[in-house]
Amino acid sequence: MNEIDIVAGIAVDRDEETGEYQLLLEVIDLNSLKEGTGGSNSLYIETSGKDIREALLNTQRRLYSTLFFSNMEVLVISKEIAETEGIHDVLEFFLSGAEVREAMSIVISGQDKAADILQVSGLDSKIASFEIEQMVRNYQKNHIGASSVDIFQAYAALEEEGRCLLLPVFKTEKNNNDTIVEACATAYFEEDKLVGMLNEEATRFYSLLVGAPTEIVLSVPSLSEPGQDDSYLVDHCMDKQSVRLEEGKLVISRELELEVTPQVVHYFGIQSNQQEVELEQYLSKVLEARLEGFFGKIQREVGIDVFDYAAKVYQQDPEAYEAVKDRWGEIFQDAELTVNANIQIRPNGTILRK
Amino acid sequence: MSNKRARQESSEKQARNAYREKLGKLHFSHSLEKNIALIKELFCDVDIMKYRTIEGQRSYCLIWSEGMVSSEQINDFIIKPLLLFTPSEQEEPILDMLTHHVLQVNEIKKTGDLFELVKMLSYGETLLLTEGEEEGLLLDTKSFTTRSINEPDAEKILSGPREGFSESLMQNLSLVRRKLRTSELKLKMRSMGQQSNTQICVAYLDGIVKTEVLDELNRRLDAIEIDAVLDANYLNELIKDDKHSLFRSTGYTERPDVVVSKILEGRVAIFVDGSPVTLTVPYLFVENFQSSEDYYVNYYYACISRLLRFMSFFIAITVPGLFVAILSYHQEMLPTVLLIRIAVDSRNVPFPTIIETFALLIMFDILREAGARMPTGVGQALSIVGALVVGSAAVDADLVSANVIIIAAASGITSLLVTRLNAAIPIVRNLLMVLAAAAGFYGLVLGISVLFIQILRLESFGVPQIGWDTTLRYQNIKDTFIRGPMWQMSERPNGLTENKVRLRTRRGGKQ
Repeated sequence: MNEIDIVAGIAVDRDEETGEYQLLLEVIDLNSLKEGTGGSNSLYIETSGKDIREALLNTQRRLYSTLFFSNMEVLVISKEIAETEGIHDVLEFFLSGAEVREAMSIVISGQDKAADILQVSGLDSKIASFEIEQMVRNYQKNHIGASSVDIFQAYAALEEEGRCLLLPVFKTEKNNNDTIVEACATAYFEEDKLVGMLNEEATRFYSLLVGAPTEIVLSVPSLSEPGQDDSYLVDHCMDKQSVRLEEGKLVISRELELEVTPQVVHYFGIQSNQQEVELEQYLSKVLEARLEGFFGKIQREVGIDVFDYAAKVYQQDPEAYEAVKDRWGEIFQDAELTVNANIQIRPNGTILRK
Repeated sequence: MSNKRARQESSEKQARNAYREKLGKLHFSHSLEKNIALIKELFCDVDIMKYRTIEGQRSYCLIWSEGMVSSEQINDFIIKPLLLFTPSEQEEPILDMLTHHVLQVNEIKKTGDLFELVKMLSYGETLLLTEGEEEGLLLDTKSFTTRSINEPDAEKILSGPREGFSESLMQNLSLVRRKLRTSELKLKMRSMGQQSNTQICVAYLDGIVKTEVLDELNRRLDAIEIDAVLDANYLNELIKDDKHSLFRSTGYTERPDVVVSKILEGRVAIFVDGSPVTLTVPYLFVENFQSSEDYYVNYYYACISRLLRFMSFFIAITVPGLFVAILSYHQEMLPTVLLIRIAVDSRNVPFPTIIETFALLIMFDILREAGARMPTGVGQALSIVGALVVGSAAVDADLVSANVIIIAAASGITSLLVTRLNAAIPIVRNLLMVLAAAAGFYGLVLGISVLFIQILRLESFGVPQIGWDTTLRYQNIKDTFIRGPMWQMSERPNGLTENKVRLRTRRGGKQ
């Protein structure tokens, strides 16, 4: 135990001039933790090489302790690598290592350099990798941003039929003179190359189309205060989904039953049950229209099945999928989504009806 | 068996029986004087032997061991009647006359067997010799000072009977007899130890005990030829099934209620005079985890206690090995935060994990051993110095890490919950730790597998110690990992008896 350096995270960049891989390893500073000194508990080791393996071997020359990769929490891949050469080889290298934990989170850098993401001050943790890892786990739990994707899930998404990989994107921000890190988007991939990103709102709609998220906020134009938005917090969500091929056309039917809590004072304007029912119907219609609109936008602008409908069709009927998989892009773009939302308002204890 | 070995054993047996044969060749004569001289010769240099000659119409001599007899009984009920007795010209022999009409003693035995006489004189009986007789009368005048009935220190309970055995065999038997008022309780006495002639009592319930077990026990006891039996553990090791096994094949207790419950389940109890410990056979492995208190408290509580004891056994033997295996080979299995804590803690410790853990476990055993033998006050000081001062200083000096102290303490404390396995736990624990240090989880799993195989193979007097047959029945496990409610304890433990049913009615409470 005395002769290991625990690696918490690695950022992978590529030098544009030399073409070499540049790695930044965040290593736990055990001495500072033992002595209880303030400041960061991390040490950073920079290294480079023709490939990742060589870069890591070069790192070992500078240390007498053995680098210990088994408890790596985060792998940050630069946007440039993800866009140009793809992430397959990077994932395969780390996944094939006997030591590396398969549950390590993968994130994409929203900065020019992935190394910048690891060299920040954590607000909750003094180790940036841990901070990022906890953030993506909480995002996943609360559906408020990009979902956490473990390395084995990312690799599986690249290898499986009809799957589209989505990864969280992080960028640095200033906070009280410190540089911190925050999630900014969700990157989607075609094969193993990054082709685009969903912003925060799009990520929220994405969550509603693929799962049953709670604790997300819906902002809807106010009925009582024109020009203003009212916010509703989703407390409970149940969903049903049907994905099928009908005469070569992808038909998706989605039913959502949501219980929401109003977060605004405009709700005081509700005078009767009738008004409440009308508001619920209004919210349902708005949500249906927005989700269908979001789906149409993805079909038009992205053109990639980021919702993994192909995988669902493949699971139901592999032969039918095999017959159409070569023109799945077209099928997805012609797909028809019907959303049937049923929203019920559940007033919380602090907002009373007049 | 080779002829040489047979000859050797034969000569040893002859040597052991030499004393008995020597006494067998000696006989009383009609001369009182010669008979007294013979006894004095046998008890040469035994200064506590007392000789009292009574000269009346006839000469008598009383012989006893001082400190083991009741002086009042000898004065009032033996000497006084003898002085007042005037022999008549009746045809009845004098010893019979004295037995039936003169001596006021509850138990009198006429014998000329010098081996028997020596044995009983050494056990508090008084010998009466008279002129003209080749035999003497052994008079029961025993009066020992014995320990009072206290709760055994090693088996303290919070609720239930507080009686415990003492060193007096008869007192112990009376405690058991009082709880089993039936003629089916058999108490077979025998004597063991050529020099000690210790009284042994084999107790069982006729009709419940398995005759095969009883026969096997008697065979093993008969085969023992030893100079002295000073404690029940002498027999425990001599009648053990597998002499090298780490695990017991006989139960032991100092509590009469436990002995009675064992006898009621079909076991045989072996009482040894001079020892407060009573052995019971056959012994099931689950008895290591049972406590008499389990049956005197709410069964939910008893279930939790029982499960805790099983867990404790497993923790005590595996945790140090698991710790060594993980830290030496499988660090990746630890959650990252825990790994960092351990790595920080053992940053400057100069020893490998196996040495650290082994040293601390040895230290724990030393402290426990020292504490157990010390007076209470010194024991407490020892605990404080050992646990707090030395432990804290060792961590501060980076000689050991705090995690290893926690592991050693967890293993040590949990081992105290299963005191009946106190011999097996340290040995198994250290073996597993060595295997873990040599081969990580592979070694640990190998060691645990061998241990389980060994446990499954255990037998006690022909009865498998695991006590389960191939069918999984609730009645077979009702008193193992859990303690089932009393109304479900309808059968005696599997394998101990053919007479299985012990509870014929269901509950007497609300229907």
